[in-house]
Amino acid sequence: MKRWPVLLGLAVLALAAGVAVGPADLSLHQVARALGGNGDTATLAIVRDLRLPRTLLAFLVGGSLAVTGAVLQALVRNPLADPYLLGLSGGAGLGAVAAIALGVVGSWGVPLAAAAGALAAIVLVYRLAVVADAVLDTRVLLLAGVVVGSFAAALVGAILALSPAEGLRSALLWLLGGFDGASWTALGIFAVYATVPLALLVRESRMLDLLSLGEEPARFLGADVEPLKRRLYLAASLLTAAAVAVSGIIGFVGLVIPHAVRVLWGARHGSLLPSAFLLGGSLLAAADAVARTAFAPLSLPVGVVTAIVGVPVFAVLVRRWAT
Amino acid sequence: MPPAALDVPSVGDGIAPNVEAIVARNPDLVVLYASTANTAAGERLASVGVRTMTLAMDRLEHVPAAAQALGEAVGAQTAADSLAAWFTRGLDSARTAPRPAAPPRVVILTWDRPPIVIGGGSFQHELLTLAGAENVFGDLPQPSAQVAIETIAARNPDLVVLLDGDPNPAWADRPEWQVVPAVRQRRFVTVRGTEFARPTPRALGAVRRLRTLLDSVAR
Repeated sequence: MKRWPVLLGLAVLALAAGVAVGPADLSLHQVARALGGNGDTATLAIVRDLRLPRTLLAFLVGGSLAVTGAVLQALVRNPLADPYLLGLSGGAGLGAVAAIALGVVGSWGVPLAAAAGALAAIVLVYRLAVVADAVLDTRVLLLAGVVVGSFAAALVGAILALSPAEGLRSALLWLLGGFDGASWTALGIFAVYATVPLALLVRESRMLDLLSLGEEPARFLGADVEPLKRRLYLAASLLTAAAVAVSGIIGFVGLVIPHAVRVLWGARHGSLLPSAFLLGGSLLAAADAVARTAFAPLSLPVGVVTAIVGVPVFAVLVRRWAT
Repeated sequence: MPPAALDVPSVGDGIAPNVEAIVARNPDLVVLYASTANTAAGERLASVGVRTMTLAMDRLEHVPAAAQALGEAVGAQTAADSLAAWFTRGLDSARTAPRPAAPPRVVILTWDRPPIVIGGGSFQHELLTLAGAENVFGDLPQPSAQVAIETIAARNPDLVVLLDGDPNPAWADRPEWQVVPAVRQRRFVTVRGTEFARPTPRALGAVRRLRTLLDSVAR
């Protein structure tokens, strides 16, 4: 299968679908005219201020999560690694729920609290995983991520049990993930923020290839392993924290897309990372379109759609790979 | 909340309650909300000899039925029948009250991200309808539902009813919400109080309050 035409074609299709369909009953002609700046005020607003930034944000977040998953799987050399494994989802959940319980207000209050919780988890996991002589032990990193995540989840459970705030149920819904907060502002902030860690991770593609062989072989082959691991961990985590702030926690994309790309086109990170970005972005943009329209006027959490669509596809790929 | 209710000590949540805390107070009767989450608590209370009854309290029609069931359980049938009759008359009267020629089209928004709206399966939909408004999500059978902002924009309500009492919610400043004209123009009706949070005999007062608020906005 030709890699780049397929991936670029999927990306164009997913982006087009995200803008073309939605719960508002607009024809393709109306959508096309609205994209050109023509149409009534409501149609222009729905297409240009809701669907377009939402679809682009879903694409960017999906791509970022897939890249992050690929990097973390190489870093901890564990196929089950995903962007949220290292305590980030627990930290983000604790931040969001604590903010609501404490009555934090402001339109960005909960997203920023979630990002702050994720950042706190990153720092804590990092501190736990750095052992003697500033060595980042990836086995300890994995374990620290799991225990910090579990600890944060326990605190979330305690707050939920003890707090009478009715908004807490909705905080949990928020954490299930989605793009209801998408706007040109959110897209702009995320796009600018994500560029640096994404560029850094892509720049380290060759080193990731070496690291995938194991730390010792990577060291023999010229990689400066310890600073490399720290850079990878921090860039991947900061990227995930930003994704949490704009979209909550969306599972599956960061775990499965890297594996799918490896099965289809191989494991060299120079092409794996851009491929994962395009495929992850396409999947999430398309999944969001399905989440908005499949049961309209009701919406589904987008993570439900990514899992329902993606798991069977992934199972087929794994079978193919195994045989 | 009525002042007398404030004096009643709390024994914890009404759903999945703390059975030990309830038993420690040695009650003559425990009234449980009809929820599968309360089934186990009901069985455990019954197993230790505590008398229980279960009441559905999801719609306004449940209020008189609940009053009569409670009256029978505590030996106050006459007072309960009187309350049930008064409430039923009040509901009938609200149902037959003159409606505006063009009822305001309203969305009741209970959360912003994700947007959660009140559907036709909720007593809050009944309150709104009795107050002379049209719920733009009244066609949904669910009590509440998650929808996209785009759906709210497409249904284009005249007013947004907010149940938390905050007339200037922070989320209304977010750019994505400006697509909904009623939000952009801050056409909010804000209410607060337990009579808007659960079906009670005070629902009739809630309908009157809501009607007054909607009328004042319409003027």
